[in-house]
Amino acid sequence: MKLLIVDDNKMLVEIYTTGLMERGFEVIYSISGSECLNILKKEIPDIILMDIMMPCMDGWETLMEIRSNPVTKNIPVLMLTAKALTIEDINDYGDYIDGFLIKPFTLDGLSERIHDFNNKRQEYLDIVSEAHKICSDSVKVDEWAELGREFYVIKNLVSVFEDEYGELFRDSSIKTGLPDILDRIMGKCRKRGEIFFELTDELGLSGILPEEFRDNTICITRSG
Amino acid sequence: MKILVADDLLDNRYLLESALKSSGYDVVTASDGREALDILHIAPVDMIISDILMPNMDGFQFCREVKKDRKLRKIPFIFYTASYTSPEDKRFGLGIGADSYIVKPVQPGDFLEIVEGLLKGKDRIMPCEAVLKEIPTEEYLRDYCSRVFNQLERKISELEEKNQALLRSESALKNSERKFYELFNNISEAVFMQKVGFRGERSSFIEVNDTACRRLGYSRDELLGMNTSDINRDYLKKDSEKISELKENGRINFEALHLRKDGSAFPVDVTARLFKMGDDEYIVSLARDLTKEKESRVRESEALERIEDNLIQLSILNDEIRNPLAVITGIACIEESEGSKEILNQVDKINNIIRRLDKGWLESAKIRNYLMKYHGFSDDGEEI
Repeated sequence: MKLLIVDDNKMLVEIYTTGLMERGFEVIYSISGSECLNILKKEIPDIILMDIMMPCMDGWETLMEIRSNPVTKNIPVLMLTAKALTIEDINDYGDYIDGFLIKPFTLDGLSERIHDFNNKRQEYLDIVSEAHKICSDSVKVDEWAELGREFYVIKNLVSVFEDEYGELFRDSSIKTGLPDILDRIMGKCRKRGEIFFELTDELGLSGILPEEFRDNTICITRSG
Repeated sequence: MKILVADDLLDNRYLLESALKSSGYDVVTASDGREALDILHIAPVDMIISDILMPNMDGFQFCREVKKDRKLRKIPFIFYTASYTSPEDKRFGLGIGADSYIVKPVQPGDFLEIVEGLLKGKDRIMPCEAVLKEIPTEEYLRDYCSRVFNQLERKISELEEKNQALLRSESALKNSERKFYELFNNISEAVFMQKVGFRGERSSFIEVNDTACRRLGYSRDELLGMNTSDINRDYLKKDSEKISELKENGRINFEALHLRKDGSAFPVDVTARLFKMGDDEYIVSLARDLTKEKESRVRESEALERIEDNLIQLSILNDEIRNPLAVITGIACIEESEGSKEILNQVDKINNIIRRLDKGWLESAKIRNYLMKYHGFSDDGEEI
């Protein structure tokens, strides 16, 4: 599996490169957003690990460049960052990233996360190719697959957020309510789930979607 | 049958006259004893009904004159009075020869019965010579004076009572006026009162309170000659719309800028009400000074900006700690030694602290958003 690490911290890049190569990954790296874009002109990695806080072109900018290029737009990008995940991040970039990993990680821990992500992704890709066999309308199936991917990414981001800060929003002693933006994200996520599952039934694909992929519950809800 | 009625009050005369006429009697009237005597000397009557308290010649004197006159003394004489009501009065009245003494009020039926009864027994009425003999002039005058004096005293005490009541109500009125004066001048709102003209325009101020004068820097006399356009900076030609809205809803509320005498302006919240007094419509406007509120809003928004700066600093610091932490973790993993496990333990502890800091930051960010949403601030502290 070929990884592209993008991080302005040279020492960290060196450590992750060494450590991940020792654990069986093929690793290339860049220490800035623009260097990353240059590398992508020649090589297409399986997964990109992207830092956010970088001088000149930051991780988000680089991400948007990658997504706007037809050649690179489908490469999964995991944000590997020292920055805390905020609801604003989810709201602004939730549609463009594939995961959010908060530093620090042990090398084993990081390797495990990447494998986890890849396995889930592979599982989903298998379901999608199965869907192509069942349903002849491949345009519709691709549409369905993308809808599902977007749904699962946001759901996943919300659950990362929930794990880290859920109690803050549920049991907060300060009764300031849930921010509107979080409400909007929840609404968007639920809506996506509904549309995705409707389309699943419509295309006759409900048989190939495992139980764990059929869960539409979003954890954070308004209390009172 | 002809009856003479003597009473100085027209209403009383009229009442008696119509009651008697409806029972079939002829009635002549006089407004005092003198006039009544004159009438009697011209044409005799069958009965006399007389009030007592009258000008020129009162009922007692009139009765005595009638009873002294040989030609008239046989005419039945009734006193009909509301003012001489004591037993002594009655005794005196009958003593000087009256045939009946009726104290008001009395039922019309009873009254007419007495009249009728006296007329039937008219011939049996004794000449009053004996009576006249028994009451010498001197005695008559003494009793008469005492009756009149009593009556006067009663009248005076009645007047005195009325006077006291008047004084009491006057002082109550003064107190109430004083109370409202204090309220009017000591409330924190500036109050302006205007009359609405027949074209729906406002008159100049007809009343202002001390607060209005103090806030605007004018004397009361200066303000009373002025109009809304003199003190309201954004006074629009659209005032007629405001007035029609007032007429529709009875009250309106709006924000405005008021101008002081020195030309400076300050924000106010105005509540205006329309009310009627007699046939005229008036507007009373209460202006609340918003200066302090606005100032505190600016302070709040400045504080909010400071919080915002601190939040950004905090988030940057957290990120800056995590990167070296990630490096340390990485190194500890690569150079596996006895100490590396402990290093990872410590890193975990530090990381937990950072996560707690993160939560604090998120919590603060949440409060900031709440302030923006519910206290009407946008990101730049401007009021929404």
